[in-house]
Amino acid sequence: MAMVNVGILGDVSVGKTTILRLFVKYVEENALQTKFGTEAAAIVKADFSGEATLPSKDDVKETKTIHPNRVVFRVGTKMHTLFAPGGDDRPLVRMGITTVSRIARLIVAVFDVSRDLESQFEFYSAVRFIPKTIIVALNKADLLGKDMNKKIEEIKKKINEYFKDKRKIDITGFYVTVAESKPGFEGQNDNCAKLILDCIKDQVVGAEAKE
Amino acid sequence: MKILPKKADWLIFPSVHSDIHSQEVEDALIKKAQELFGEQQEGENFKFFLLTGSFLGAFGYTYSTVRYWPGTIRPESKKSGRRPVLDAVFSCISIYLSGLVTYQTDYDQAYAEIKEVLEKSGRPDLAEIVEEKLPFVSMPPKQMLKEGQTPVTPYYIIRNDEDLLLAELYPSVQLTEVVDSIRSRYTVFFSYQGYTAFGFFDNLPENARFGFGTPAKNFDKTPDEKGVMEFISKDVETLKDLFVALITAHQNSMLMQYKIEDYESLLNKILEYKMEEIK
Repeated sequence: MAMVNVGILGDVSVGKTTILRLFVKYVEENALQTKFGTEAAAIVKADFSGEATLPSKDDVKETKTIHPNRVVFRVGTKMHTLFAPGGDDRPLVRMGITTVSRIARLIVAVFDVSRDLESQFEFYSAVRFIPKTIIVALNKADLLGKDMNKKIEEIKKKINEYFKDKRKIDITGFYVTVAESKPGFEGQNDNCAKLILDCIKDQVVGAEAKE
Repeated sequence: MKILPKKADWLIFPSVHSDIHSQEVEDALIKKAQELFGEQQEGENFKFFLLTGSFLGAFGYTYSTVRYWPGTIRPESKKSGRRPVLDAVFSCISIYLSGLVTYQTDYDQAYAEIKEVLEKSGRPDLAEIVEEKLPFVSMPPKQMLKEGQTPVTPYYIIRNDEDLLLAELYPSVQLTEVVDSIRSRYTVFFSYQGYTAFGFFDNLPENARFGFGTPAKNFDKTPDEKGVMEFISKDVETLKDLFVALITAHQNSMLMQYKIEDYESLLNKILEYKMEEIK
């Protein structure tokens, strides 16, 4: 298993930072070892200093990522880096997206499945360098309500059409995720950590599609 | 001929965000900084401007400073007709530069990964070629720039280690062409436990005690005025340590804080600049 740089990309407010923070929580609570049987894991460096907190009237603090968030973690003896740039179309943020798309060996494309997909595809249309294979996180699945599985299949089909037909990029795995801790969605919480572990384990190429 | 709009259109001036201030801490930081930088000539101090801050809202930035730059206006000054240009420029480009420096670090990290693969594949010669290209990675990425712009990192690295970088801003790139007041400035960038700090100088303090090669001392005292003063007098031996004291003082509201409402206007201007000239 070699050192891997993983870029977590996606349109604004799809939950990239939340996935990253949940992964940090899993590492810190030793959940990678207990749930997935990994070697000892530890966070080497977690940098969320590029995060800006927006003024809000209620208790929920909305944030925007200006400089990419970075998490360096170790599993066994190998270190890996996760990058999560913001999703805005602002020059300073766009610099992060472009850089991360260039240096990451693996890209996780995050979608908010409760929102219109077309506007989220526009984000990727502006990213010139994307590896030939990516994996996809279908996030905020808890907001889909009834017929979740059926809706997920339709969403997968549309995402496949966009990446495979328009961008010639293969999707090697879909992960249905919920990055916020919510009762009843523990499996989807686990998928946030699982997709990152599968990135460093399989290095995606040739990986089976997973849910 | 260069036709630029008035600076007021795109250079956003700071205002006072919090006036809680310990003059004692500021004086101690300035005195220690002068001690670390040494003198340019007998009796003449280097001009310096050190700052650290954090994001506020979507486009805002709050920061505290430690400075010795005679003749410049502070944001809280009541003098009419003069504006804090140095604050406006240095605070905005700090955010821009911190992005560039960290991206450069990311490229270096990616290079380490490539080097490992190439060496394992028996091609160390290719690793050398890639290494030679590293300092010339375009920042901002070339695809963001319009035709005719110089896609080069706007600084020359004089020296760096894991958490401190000393560089000179090139006078030839669009950053310095747009803001002529920062022509050929020396700068340092420091990163500590997720926080960042910057320094700007009028001349290169060659003999300064930067602390390259030695880690910054951790702040292990009570984060109050007494603790910071004790840290400055007993523990600060390098610029890295001084930045730790500045970051602690800022994070615990011991120094006056200033606010820039929109730090991106300057970057947007830099990215647009050559296009206007082409038109």
